[in-house]
Amino acid sequence: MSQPTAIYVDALTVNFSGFKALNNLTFLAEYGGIHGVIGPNGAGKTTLMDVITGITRPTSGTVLLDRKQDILRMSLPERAQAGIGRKFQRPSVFEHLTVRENIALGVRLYPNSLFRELTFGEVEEKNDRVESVMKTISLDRLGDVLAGTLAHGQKQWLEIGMVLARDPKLLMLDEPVAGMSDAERDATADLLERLRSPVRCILLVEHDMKFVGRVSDHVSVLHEGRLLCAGSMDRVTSDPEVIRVYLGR
Amino acid sequence: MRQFILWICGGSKVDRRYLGVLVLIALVTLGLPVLGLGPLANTPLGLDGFQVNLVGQVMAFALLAMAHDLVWGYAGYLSLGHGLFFAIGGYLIGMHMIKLSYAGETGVPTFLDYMGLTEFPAYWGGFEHFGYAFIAILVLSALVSFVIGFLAFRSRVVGVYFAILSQAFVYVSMLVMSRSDTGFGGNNGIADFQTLLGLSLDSIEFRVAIATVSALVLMIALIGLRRLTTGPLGKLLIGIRDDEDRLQVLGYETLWVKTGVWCLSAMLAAIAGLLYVPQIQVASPQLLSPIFSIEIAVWVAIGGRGYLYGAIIGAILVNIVKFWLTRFMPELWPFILTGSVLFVVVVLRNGLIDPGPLFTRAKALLPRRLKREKT
Repeated sequence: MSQPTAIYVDALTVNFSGFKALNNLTFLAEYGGIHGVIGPNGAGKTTLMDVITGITRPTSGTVLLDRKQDILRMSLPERAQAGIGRKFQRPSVFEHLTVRENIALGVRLYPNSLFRELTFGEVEEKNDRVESVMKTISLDRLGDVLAGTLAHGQKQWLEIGMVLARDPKLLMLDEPVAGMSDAERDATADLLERLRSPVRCILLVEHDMKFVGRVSDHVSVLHEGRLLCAGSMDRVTSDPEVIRVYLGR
Repeated sequence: MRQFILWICGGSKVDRRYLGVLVLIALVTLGLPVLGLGPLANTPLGLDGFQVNLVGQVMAFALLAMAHDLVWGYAGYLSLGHGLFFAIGGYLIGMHMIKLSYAGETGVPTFLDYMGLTEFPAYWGGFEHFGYAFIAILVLSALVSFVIGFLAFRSRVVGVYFAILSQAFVYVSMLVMSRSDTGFGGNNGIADFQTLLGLSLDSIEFRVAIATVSALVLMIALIGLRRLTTGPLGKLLIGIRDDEDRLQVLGYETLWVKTGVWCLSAMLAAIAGLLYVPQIQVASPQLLSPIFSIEIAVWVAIGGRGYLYGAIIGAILVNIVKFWLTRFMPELWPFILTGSVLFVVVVLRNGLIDPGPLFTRAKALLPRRLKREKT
């Protein structure tokens, strides 16, 4: 892979009062691909995303975006402006707003000024972007439905849509197909294929190995806060250490 | 016409309940001068000074309740300390009226005399001008609320901790203002007001005027806040209430949204205090009592939070019943208030403004009872 590096994590340690959720982790993901992150429960997959998003403060280590921007110095909203988008594990949509309003919240006409956004950023001007995002996530016929009434899978898509509205260069998806039916899984795999772009890096945390193998170009296995193994899915699944701690037998 | 109604509703849909409450307030605004001062004043339909006063106070309380709902119902932060901002408005307008009574005279009110002062302290300067007092009310309430709000929101104080914190601030203020050496009359507060804007406080003209202004301010504030909360800001506030982390990760600095709305709410509460104190003619630490601040939240809960007009209905109903009961059977009032809070919490989760749950509950219960009778 000769694509430029999107996110570079070096010697990252997160210490939760004695428990090391991440232990001297070094990790790297490039633009243009879908990068799977797998590992047993408690391996630190979600913690890694929390650190990159800014929800958890690491004990030590470096995280660089584009090999130059030190994102650990930025606030949560600043990271979003820099192009980091994230879908949470538990689908978190705004249940009391409609699908359209949810996505419109993701669109910013004036990313640098909240005041201008609130006074001039009328929803009508965001319509084109909102409509195209709704088409991408196949919810274009449910625009005026309250998000709280959507099915579980549709909420997952809606949350991806909200994040997509900002056109992030680093898109992190935490278990996007958890609790989905087979048909919904297929639709999500198609969606991820469509989102693949040379200027975007997609990080995918998922327990469903079949799904990860199907969509990702590169897989990293985390175990006890460290990188156990990285490479193609075939290489990773044949690694004896991975089989011992994660796949079993 | 339809355009105008939609503008007032601030959205793409006509909201009947909201318009109903708005019409009610408009009728009060028009009715007060007609029934209190106009040709009908001396007929059986007319209102006497006491009744006009009562309506005026309820309007001020409704404004206070709506300010509270903006923070609780929309952003999801329960304040148990809104009495603090109400009292800022009340005390400062009280200072203005005291200064008016002593204009051109030497000497000071008894509560300052008691402290050994022979003239007004420096910070009373300028309070003889209404404009100065008004601006001071807005600035001080904004300043105090900014300090509390910014620190609390920056430290991510949420939920019940925020409620306790706001309660602590109002309690501390009550303790400070209850001391006789603070210069605000201690437990008795400041009173002996005579005029405001050239009208004697006891005249029927003044009573009608301030009650009408209270209703008018309530109406304007309702339309303004309605348009604000149906616009982009309202969506953000609902987003904060539903999932604040999500909103931050989408790139919104929620700290400023929350602080801004909190300050706006505090300033409205201070204006409500400004309208209230000239009607009861005393500003005392009673306004800062934690019980009063909790009562504000009770009005909003009973009326229904997150609608603005629900808070108004709650404040009006609870206070009318309170005025009435505390005159005839004061010992029953605490029980009735507690009972209605329980009723709302258990049966009508969205408050009186949304009676829906009552019917769905009745429907759900009905078949079961029928089945039981059969067997």
